[in-house]
Amino acid sequence: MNAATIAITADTLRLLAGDGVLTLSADQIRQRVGRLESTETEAGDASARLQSVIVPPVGSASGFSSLAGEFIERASSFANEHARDLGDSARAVEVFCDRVEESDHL
Amino acid sequence: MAGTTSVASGSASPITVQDLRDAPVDSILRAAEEAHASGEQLGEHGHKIHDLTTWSDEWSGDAATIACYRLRASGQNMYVIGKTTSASSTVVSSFGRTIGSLASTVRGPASFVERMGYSISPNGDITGGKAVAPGWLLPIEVVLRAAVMAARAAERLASSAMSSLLESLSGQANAPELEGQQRQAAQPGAELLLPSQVPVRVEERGEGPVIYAGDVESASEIITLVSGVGSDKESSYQSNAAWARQQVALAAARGESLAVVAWHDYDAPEGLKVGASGQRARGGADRLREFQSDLRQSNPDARLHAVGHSYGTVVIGQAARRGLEADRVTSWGSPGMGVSKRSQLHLSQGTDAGARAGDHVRQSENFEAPGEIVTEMIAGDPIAYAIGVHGPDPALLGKGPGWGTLLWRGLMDGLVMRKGAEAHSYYRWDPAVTERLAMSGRG
Repeated sequence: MNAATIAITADTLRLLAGDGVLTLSADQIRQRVGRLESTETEAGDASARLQSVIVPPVGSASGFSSLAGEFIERASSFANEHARDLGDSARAVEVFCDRVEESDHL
Repeated sequence: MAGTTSVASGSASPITVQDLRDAPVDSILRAAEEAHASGEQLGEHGHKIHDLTTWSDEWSGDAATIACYRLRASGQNMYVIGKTTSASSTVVSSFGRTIGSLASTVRGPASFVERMGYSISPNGDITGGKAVAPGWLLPIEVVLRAAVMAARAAERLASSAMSSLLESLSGQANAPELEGQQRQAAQPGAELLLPSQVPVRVEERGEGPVIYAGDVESASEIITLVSGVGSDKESSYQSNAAWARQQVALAAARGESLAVVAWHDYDAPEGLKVGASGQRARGGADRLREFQSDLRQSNPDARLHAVGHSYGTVVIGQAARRGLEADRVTSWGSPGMGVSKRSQLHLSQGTDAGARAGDHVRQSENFEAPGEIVTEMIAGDPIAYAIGVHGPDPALLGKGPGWGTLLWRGLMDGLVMRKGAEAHSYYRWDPAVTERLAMSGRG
């Protein structure tokens, strides 16, 4: 979890929301955030499984095997980063909900 | 998705008859199945983000829209990676099946030849042994040689397809120096600066406001954001101001000194019809050139980074035709930059590019093209269909992607666009895109 990114994103949402947030149903949004966080976990697991995939070379001809390995490494790494981004953004929405409730803008 | 990939091609050594006989076909096919399963799962996870962020009944307004864009951008990135991974598994599977078939073809004849006391060269020639190979072995030799040639061709073909998919993982082009750069996390112990604490200054100009976030006098990098169609309104100014403050805060968390300027001093087209003409861009180009020159003078040590979104890239392109003070240009969702070739874009780098201090305001004929141009096109951005209206795809102005990559991206566009056309609005809020923006500043 990147605490700084979450705090900064939540604060940006607060800036964008302006002086009043009239339509926010914080509890319902939190339910969605929970499902988004589950998706982060599941996607992280899928990217970890992908990372463990090895395409063996055909004899000493390792060109295709190397390329496939590079693809898998990058794809799993990027998927993991996007899953993390997703989780950070979801938590930022949650923090935003908390702040809005605390500040009584509803 | 991260920076542009550069890929290896060809084999370390060519496939031989013995390689075919020993080919780990089952392992290759199993790897393909595992990759396919993971890819499909990633695609499904990415796909469901769209539904999870359809929350207009519970929450609406700019914050809700931007939160939605941010989350959907990550979901879409995951979806594209999932689908690309599934495609890669098809390549692996096809390669494995082809090799398996060829292996079955050579194993029996090769064993027979060896039992007869002859040797088989890596290329399939029957040589040596107790005597000269008799003529009746010739058909077997032809089969062995043909199988090896077919296996090598299959490997080249599979490698080419895999290279294209590898390149497709990137949403960015023309920035090879970004390769290998890693995300920079927040600096531990760094004091957290929130966007709402970032100082903002608004300067009213002839055609619209110029919004400054952060300290342009002392920043080591200054981003100038030029927006496109429909940006000539209050809501756009506000969201760009929030974005600018967010970028400054994120940079501060990484220990970097950034200032961001949302430059609206041009008559932005109010609709697509006007946006099809380059007239408004030409009208704003001189003012942008002047603005960038002033920035350079006020902070000669800063790295200037002009970022255009949509029609904003046309404005930047028109400005750069006559020389623009910018160390780097990033184009987001560009319909073309109003030029037909890279050499028409004249960028001027700052002091860190050489002994140019004090010579920042110069005549257009003195501008060279040393600056860098980075292009981003998010999958499913419908602007892809408008490329050509203002010149070729900026990604093709430099070392563009290969046809296989373009083909796959086109297919992805079609798949993603079925959900709607909002991907064109993701750029500013896609964490991966802004992360690459930050990384490019460290280049």
